[in-house]
Amino acid sequence: MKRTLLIIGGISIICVLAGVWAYFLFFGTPNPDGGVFANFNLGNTDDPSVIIPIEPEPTQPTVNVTSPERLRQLTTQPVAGFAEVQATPDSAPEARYIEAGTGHIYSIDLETGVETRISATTIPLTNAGALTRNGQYALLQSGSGMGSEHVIGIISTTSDELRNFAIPGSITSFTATDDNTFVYTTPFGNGLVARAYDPSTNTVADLFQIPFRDATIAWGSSEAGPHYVHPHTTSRLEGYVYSYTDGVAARERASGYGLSAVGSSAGYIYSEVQDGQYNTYATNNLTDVTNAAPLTIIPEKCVFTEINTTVAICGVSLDEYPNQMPDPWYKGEVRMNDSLWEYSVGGQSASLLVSPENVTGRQLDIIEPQFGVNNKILYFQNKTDQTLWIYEYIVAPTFNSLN
Amino acid sequence: MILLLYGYMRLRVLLAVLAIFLPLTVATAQFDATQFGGTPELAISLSPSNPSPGDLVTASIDDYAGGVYGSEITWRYNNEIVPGAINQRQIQFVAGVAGSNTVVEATLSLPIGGTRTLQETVTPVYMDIIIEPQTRVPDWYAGRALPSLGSQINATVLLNDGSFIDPQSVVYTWRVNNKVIEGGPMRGGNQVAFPTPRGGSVVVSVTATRPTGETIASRAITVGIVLPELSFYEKHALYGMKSSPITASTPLIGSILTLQAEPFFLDTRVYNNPDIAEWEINSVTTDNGSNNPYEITLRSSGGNSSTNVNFHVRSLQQILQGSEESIAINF
Repeated sequence: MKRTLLIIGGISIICVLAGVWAYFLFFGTPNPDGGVFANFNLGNTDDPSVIIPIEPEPTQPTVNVTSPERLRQLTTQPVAGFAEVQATPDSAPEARYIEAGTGHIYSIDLETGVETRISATTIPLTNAGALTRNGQYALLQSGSGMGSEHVIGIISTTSDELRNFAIPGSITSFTATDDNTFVYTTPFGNGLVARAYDPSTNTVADLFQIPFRDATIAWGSSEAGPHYVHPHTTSRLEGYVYSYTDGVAARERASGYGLSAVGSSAGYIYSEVQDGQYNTYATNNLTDVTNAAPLTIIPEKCVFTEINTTVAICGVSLDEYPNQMPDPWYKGEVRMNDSLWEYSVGGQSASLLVSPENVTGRQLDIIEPQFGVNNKILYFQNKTDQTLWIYEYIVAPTFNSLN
Repeated sequence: MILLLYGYMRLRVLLAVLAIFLPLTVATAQFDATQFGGTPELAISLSPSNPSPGDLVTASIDDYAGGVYGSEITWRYNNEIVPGAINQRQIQFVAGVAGSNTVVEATLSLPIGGTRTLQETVTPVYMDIIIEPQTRVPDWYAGRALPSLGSQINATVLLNDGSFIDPQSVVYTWRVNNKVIEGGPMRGGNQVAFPTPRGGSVVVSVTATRPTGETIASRAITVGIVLPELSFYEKHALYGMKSSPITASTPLIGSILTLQAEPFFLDTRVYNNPDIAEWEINSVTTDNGSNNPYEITLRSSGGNSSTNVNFHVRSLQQILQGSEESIAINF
């Protein structure tokens, strides 16, 4: 081959390559998907085998928990479960929470605000959980519906590994009691059976049976109860309230549409739709008297104090409630702007504790209220973002009647 | 002979009297209350006849024969005279707690002399009818499912007279829209299942009797029937479903969005095996590319864009078992 032909060929290849380079430089890569819809073939995201990247362990508080304000935000990430833990009677209480999605467990020193991850074991899709008061055990729910799994975790004091094992069968509701057991319900025939699981002895005991499936349980603070049970709430079907104390069932007087309830040994608060209006009542078990409450309350936003079982702390919105309540709130169509109120079932009076909007500028839709040791701190979540908040609760010396 | 004639005359008179009055007697007997279970006697009737605890009960004197006329009436409630109820034909009182026995008495001082006492014992019983429709609601939804046309309804009745009455000691008769179901009364049958009939509501009634036939309680409730409702929720790969449905005004962060269509109150059988489960993106039918037909992942094309997303789920056998909804997604 002639030398000139080789030179011409080489120059041609160089020109073609230069042209391709120039095209990509000025026009970029073609966009094949049109940007409207993409099929990622990720499969069902309920798949528990998904690998969750482990984030670096935070050592500093992400929110200022040592602020002098009595109302404070404790986490910025969604929380699946929480409890105030006191390992021994002499040790300082600490806040613990289960991170939603990962199941990692964190501890927050309430004095210094330092946050420590005490379990780095990932339990994907964790969306509910409970922790025992002694800080040794956790019960986590992973996934939802038929695909949900429930895991007992044993928290180590020497490593950040959570030894865990699954509980067989389906669990419809659960919590941890003050005496470090887990209470839960599981389907049994056409109804449910409530059981207590003691993780320290690995024993299960039957507590009581509920003769229907669609049951909401407002668990008491101990195995003995009282636990208040009613059919799932809807404004379009009638509900009834039952209490279970030491395994014995009692039919409470409350019944009606849109009915839900929460209670203590001294009484219970319930709301229902009557004549197209969502109203709240309180029954005092000591006097056997039922009165209309001075506030309209969604009972799920209340917790009774253990120091005085006739007093409840409730998240209350003073806005007008739709008459289909609480269905739109359950669906997430209605968001509440709650304040914390102290409500005395005995005295039929209520007093405002704090308005989060006034103090923080944020509107909170309060759910899962729960007291810490000796009722000093009230913990709750904001339904909108599932974050954890605390309020330093001090029993108000007097009640300002609101009627 | 005279005696014979006299006897013959008596017989004719007797026959004549019988001929005149016998048809009247028969006609009267047609309306005799004995045909309906007894002579109308003075009695106390209660409304409601089987009250629940706390119900306002009206006790009335049934007096079809006018036997009360001119009588002085004194009412007693658990042996205590009810003040202000002298000579009243009815009184009202609040039923006591479940299982308690309340004795209501009316003493009639008759104008011809003598007294007569009527008595009724009230034993209030709670009769709870729990409706559990077998329709779809998400696991995180705290409310109860509602019945939609053709879906199955499970119903449970609980009787409580201070403690729960053993269902095996009771005979239950269930009616749906006044038609007896399950073939008739069932001993121990406190739980039934039936399909939701057509219409805007269904009346479910149940009568509980002892095996001896004595009625313990009877109650009817009206259950509203709804159409399935579709809402869209954002699903996070880690945290699961967000607590509020997506609306056109919902701000979305990021360029990828996983949408979950939640058909509330769709028959669970249809939900698990829908004939139609179809996504449309800007009116173009689209394969959602997931094992879960109720889920789709969208990616923004960049910039501020609006995409119209439509989802349709339906049964072809039961055409009202379905729902279709659209939403504008603004990235």
